[in-house]
Amino acid sequence: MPFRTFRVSEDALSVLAELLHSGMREAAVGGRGAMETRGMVRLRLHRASFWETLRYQGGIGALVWILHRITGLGILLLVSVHVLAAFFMNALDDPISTAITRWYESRPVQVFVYFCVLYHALSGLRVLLEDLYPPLLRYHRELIWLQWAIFIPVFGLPAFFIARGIAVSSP
Amino acid sequence: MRRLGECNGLEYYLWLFTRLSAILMLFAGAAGIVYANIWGRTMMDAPAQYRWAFFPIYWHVQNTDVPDVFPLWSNAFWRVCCTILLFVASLHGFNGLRVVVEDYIHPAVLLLLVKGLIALLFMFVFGAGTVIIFEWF
Repeated sequence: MPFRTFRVSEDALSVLAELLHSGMREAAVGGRGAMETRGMVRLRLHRASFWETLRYQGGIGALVWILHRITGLGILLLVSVHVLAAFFMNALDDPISTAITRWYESRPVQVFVYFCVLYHALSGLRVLLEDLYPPLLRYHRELIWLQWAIFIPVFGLPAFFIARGIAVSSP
Repeated sequence: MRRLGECNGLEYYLWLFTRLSAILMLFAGAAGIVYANIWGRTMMDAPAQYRWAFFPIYWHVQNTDVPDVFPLWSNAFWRVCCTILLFVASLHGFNGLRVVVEDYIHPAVLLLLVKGLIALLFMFVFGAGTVIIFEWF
């Protein structure tokens, strides 16, 4: 299946063509969501392996794209395991489910889950905005830097509290 | 609007669902954090706050020193919220897994098998979560 059909708006198409012509290769990989708006177009789909994706020198666009994928898979794996462990802990009260739940509630895992959830939420919000208003793709790079500027403090402070086990009071 | 070939309708609706469910989850998370901080009138640590925002089940605040957990935090409203959020979040997640898998698994039969497995896993996780919400908590 070398071709896959996407719906694309005129706006997104023109912006994408402009970005590709200006030599921003990462727009094609990092801004994958932008290719799938309204309207229709056929795009050639290059099937890259996971390791090929990691080696791809697409710059920051490719980096945030692969991180979005990895954090999404991380949330799916950890939260599904947590839900199933909670289910079997209550149904069977077996030691394995209890151990998994204790492991999930440990501080390092909580920090990792918080990293995944916050990164995936912010990155997803950026993709959402670029899809709703495709001209924003001209500021793709700047939006990525804005995303990191929000992410670092919003992740850092609660992660510090979680890692040190400090309770935050709200009277 | 130009048309260059046929488009798979289901694929488009799943694409749309991913965006709409993302908006819903962002607002639900924000509402959960605001609720926890304003109406909770309690001591909640950071993990409890984000656990509550992510999945508002009262077990997620029971371990903190929050008073009157049962009337405030375990009622029909939060249970319905929880179920909607669980359905939306698990469909968003497993659909995302399907998209990732389609990029990396090439043989058609294997892909079909893996997609079937993903559908089964989705139903199992959603079922288990619903039982947790309505039977035990």
